[in-house]
Amino acid sequence: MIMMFGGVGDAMAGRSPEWITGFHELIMKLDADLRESGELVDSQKLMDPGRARTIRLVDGAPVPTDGPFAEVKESLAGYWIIEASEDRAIDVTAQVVGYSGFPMEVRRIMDEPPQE
Amino acid sequence: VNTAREVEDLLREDAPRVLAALVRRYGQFDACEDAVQEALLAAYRQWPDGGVPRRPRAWLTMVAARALIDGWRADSARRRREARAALDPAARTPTSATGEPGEPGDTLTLLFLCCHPALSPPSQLALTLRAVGGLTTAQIAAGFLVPDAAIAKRISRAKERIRAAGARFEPPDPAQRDDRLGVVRHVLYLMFTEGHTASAGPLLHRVDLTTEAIRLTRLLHCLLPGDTETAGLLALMLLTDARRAARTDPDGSIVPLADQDRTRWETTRIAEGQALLTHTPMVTLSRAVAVAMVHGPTAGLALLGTLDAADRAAQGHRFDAVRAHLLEQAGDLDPARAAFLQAARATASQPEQRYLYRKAAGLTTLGARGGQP
Repeated sequence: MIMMFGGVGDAMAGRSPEWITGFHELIMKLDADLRESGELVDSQKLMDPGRARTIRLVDGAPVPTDGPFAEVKESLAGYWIIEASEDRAIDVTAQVVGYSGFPMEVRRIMDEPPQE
Repeated sequence: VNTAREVEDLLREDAPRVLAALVRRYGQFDACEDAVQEALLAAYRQWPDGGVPRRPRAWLTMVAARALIDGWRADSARRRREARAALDPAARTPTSATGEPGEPGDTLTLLFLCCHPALSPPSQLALTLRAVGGLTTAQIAAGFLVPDAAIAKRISRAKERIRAAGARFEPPDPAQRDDRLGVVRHVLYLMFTEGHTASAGPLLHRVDLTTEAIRLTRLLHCLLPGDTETAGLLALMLLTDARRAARTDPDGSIVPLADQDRTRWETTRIAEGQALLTHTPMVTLSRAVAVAMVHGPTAGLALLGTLDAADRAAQGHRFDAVRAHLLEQAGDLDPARAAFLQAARATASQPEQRYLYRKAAGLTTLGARGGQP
């Protein structure tokens, strides 16, 4: 699982339209490549973390509050789930980080025997 | 003797009602739909030359019911028992007072059934276009720019799902109705925009779609006159459709709103649309855009200022997006940029978000250039 963090808003603020277009094209190209090679299992982009709702226990009852649990820059923004070696996952991630400058994380999804 | 065109109009109006009457009487959505298609074919063949029967809908219902029962007969002994049960007068639901099956309410019930929550949004739309809008699979496929077979599959899967979910043909209870109302409105809106802006398919189909969407939305509005969102949707459709003739020039190219010949706008539609406009927030937004076009961005912004905080929140990113555009036109670039960013953060649509971020970024660049000689 390849994870991107932060509010896209923060990432986009202060960039040129060309930068945003380039970033989007890079993501779309990687997404298309992964899909075509059959490596892609799922990819999703989440709404801005500013729109998140965090549910906390308040006086023993779960209460929803506005905003993300972590700081916006630590909040999940989107992910790819791919079936590939760790090297390949790092290679894909490096292309995005190389462009955007924002750190990203690669995590292995744990094995689970098929359930009947 | 009627023209093919008149027959077609008549059938489009009647087909969903006949289908509704059959489904209510016999259940089995897919079998009934096939039977209605057969009846429609028979009508297409016979009516243009032989004339339209005195009670066309009753004629269609009878032919479709016969086709349905023939289908059952041809099938199996089990099916024959079902047909006999279905034909038993005691088992029939009474038809309306006029004896004509299929009141307008039936069309709406059918619409709510097509928008069943067990279906994905594309399936809801495809099924609605087929069963309520009376479009052929080929027409729907052309509208979606996908192969015929894909739409046929989508529709048959949708019908299976409805059956599997145990849905029955009856008006939804108030709770279900409220749950599905949003989806129903969305499907109607898609049907309308498909007709209004579709880039593919012959012109004729597009007009049919918008007309059908308006007809159905009007029915929904009659059923729920107090529902402001439905009223707003109908108003939006009427006001948009009123400009249809002016939207394209003779060779079919799009004419932007500002350049349209206003004498070609349909005043009756505009009047009907405006009459529907109570002061819902969505309407105020649309009016702000219109006012800004005529009287300038500052006038539009002033109108936006009349919305209170709750109304603004209810409109979400649309409010900020409209405000951003008007601020940009007014030359107020920093607030415009902030409003674009705010709208971008609030939208759930990726293309819209990209557009809004690029607008914001464009203003940043302009601002920076302006600041540095």
